[in-house]
Amino acid sequence: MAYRHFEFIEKHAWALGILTAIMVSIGGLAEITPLFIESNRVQPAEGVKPYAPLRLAGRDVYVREGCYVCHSQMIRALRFETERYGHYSTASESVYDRPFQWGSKRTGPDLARVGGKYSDPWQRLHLMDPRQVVPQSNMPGYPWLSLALIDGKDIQKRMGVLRFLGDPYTDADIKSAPKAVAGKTEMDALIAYLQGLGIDNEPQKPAVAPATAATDGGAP
Amino acid sequence: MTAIETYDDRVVRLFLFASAVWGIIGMLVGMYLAAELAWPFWNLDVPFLAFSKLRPDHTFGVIFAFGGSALIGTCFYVVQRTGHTRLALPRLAEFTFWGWQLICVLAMVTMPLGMTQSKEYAEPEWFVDILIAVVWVSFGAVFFATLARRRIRHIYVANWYYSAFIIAVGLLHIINNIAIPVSMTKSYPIYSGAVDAMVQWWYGHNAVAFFLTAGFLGMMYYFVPRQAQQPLWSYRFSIVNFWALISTYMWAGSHHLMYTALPDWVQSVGMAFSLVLLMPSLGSAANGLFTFNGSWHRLKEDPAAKFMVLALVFYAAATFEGSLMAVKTVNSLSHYTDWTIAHVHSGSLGWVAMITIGSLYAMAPRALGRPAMYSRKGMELHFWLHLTGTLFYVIAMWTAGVIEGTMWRATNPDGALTHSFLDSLIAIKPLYMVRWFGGVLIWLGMWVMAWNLWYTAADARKPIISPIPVPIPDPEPRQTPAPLPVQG
Amino acid sequence: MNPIWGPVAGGFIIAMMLVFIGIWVWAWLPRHQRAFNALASLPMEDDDAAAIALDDKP
Repeated sequence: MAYRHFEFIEKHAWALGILTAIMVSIGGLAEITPLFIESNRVQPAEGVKPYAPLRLAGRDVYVREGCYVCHSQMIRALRFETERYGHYSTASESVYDRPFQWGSKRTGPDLARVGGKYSDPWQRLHLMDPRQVVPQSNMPGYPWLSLALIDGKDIQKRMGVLRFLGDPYTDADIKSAPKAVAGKTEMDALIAYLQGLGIDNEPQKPAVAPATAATDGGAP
Repeated sequence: MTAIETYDDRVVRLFLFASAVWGIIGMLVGMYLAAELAWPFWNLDVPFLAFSKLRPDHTFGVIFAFGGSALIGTCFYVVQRTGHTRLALPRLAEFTFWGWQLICVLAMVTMPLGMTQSKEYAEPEWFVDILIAVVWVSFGAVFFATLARRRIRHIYVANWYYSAFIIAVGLLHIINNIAIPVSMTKSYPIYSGAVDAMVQWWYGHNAVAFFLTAGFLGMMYYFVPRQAQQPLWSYRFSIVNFWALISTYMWAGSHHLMYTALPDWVQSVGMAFSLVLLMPSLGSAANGLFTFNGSWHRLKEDPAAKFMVLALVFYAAATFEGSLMAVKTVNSLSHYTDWTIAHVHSGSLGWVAMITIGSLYAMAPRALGRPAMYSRKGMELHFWLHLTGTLFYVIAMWTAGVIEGTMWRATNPDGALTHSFLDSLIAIKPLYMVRWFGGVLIWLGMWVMAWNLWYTAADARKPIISPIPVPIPDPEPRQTPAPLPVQG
Repeated sequence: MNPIWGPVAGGFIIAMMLVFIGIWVWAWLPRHQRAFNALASLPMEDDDAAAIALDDKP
């Protein structure tokens, strides 16, 4: 009986197609659906607010220039990672990240908590020509960012879409956006974004937490 | 009683040449990017040449333009021959070709200009994504309509893989790219943070599974027996492998996010299924390799067969490595390093490119109405250029990855880190140069192939090829495989 | 997570294993051998040769 049914699949294109679709969907559904349900419960970490207009503009520059290709923003829960970059990243830190920027490759160092580690002028110099400050670096320069101005109207529109997607921007937030970015260049915005990374939202108690993760691969 | 139809290879030929051209373009971009990493001068302070903006052109160019054209082309070729029927909906097939080329051009122009979603392997913005969905559906329509009019009742296993490839890639593409546009050039995804990461790597992993594995396995299951001149080693084994492969692959996506902020259980599920995945992967590779058993002498005479055997060896090695890297302890070393790059390229240059090149060499003469490729020496040269280039590339990146991984985790007895991040970059710089050199060899090989195809296509350019006739055998009593009942 | 998921996941795993074993058994049934052998040599078919063979038929 059952054998004939399988033969049916093998001889009918539509049956093969539908069953294939079901088989491939199961795995994805099983992993993504619980995350979806859970994501409604994940509260933003203390201090995590939707991006202010200038930082939002900077974040979009970060996305546009493809920084994620070489820089991760995801400190793993491993001792040598937390030693180098700070407290490991948590899901509640990136609830307003659309798209996420965790990255997959570190040709350069992780940036999840780079905020405040270097001064604004250093960042500017480094982004204009990285080898001016780090001679061995192989990062491209991004001098064109200092020539382009941020468009306030555009940022308002972006905030509107983000609010539609559920980010809690108020009318006042959106109304004041053009003033916040007036006269700022893309370079200013990007630096503002970088300088805020990980400092507003670093989870407290860093002294205890990393120790629990040290069992995995911490030793050389 | 017997009508003679002809196979419709027009679109197949178009895809064949598109694939050769995109191969050269995609690998040229890759070579340039490798040069930028070794000698950052080559960024030239030009916005669209910056490494970060140009890289999606390499990945899109080789995966979707080169690989995609080869996949769609061979799919149309194989489905006709394994179904004893002519391609259905020829106009739509033609639309699929031009639509796909338009997508590739559009994507590769807009991405370096900064119109990007920043989701790896799904960078093009929403308007390109919609176009991809439309063309993909028309590709599926042509394929399934052709399958529906086949004259052999059993569906040959290569077509199973092609259909899984079409269905799954369509599904992945649509779900991962749901976004709300802000303007023509910018959109925000409906997912955020950890959910976005999971959806993206579910997509990223399964793009590898169904684009770079299932699709090319379809190619393998037709062209390997053909080139070995022996029947498939075990047809029934291929059935088991098919269902095992497609049902386990989808579970393993989370192994791209080990030790991250993703819930622990999702990571563990991903790791477990990555290990289960070893079985169908190695099974498929074994099935291909055993098909050559007793026919090994063909490797001496036929470079296309050589490409295929090496492809299967690389496939087995790369999937084994992939499962290994999905083990959490290994992943803690390999993640974020150039080991990932080595793994991807041993899969893409070793498995994907080699099975594609082998299949193109097997298919081109037939689709172009010639007894054989124009130059066998050219094929031979291409084989050695490609193989040496791949080895240079992969070994350099493996070494670089292990150096980075060990330097990042090295600590002094007092617990402080031994090396700064910059130390690791300086240590691997020479290896970036070796990688570039490997890339150059591979790229030169692609030129040899293009030259060879150009001369093989002499008749096609003069449009004097005679279409290949397809017999419609009258059903014999108790024929195996059984024919479908005659329609209309 | 909700404790109900344990038995659900367990039942699902057992069902999938049964399906998997079922596919093995089905694939190895002797009565399929002839069809599968014919299918396994399908790619080796030569387009022209088939056409010529057909021309010989009355």
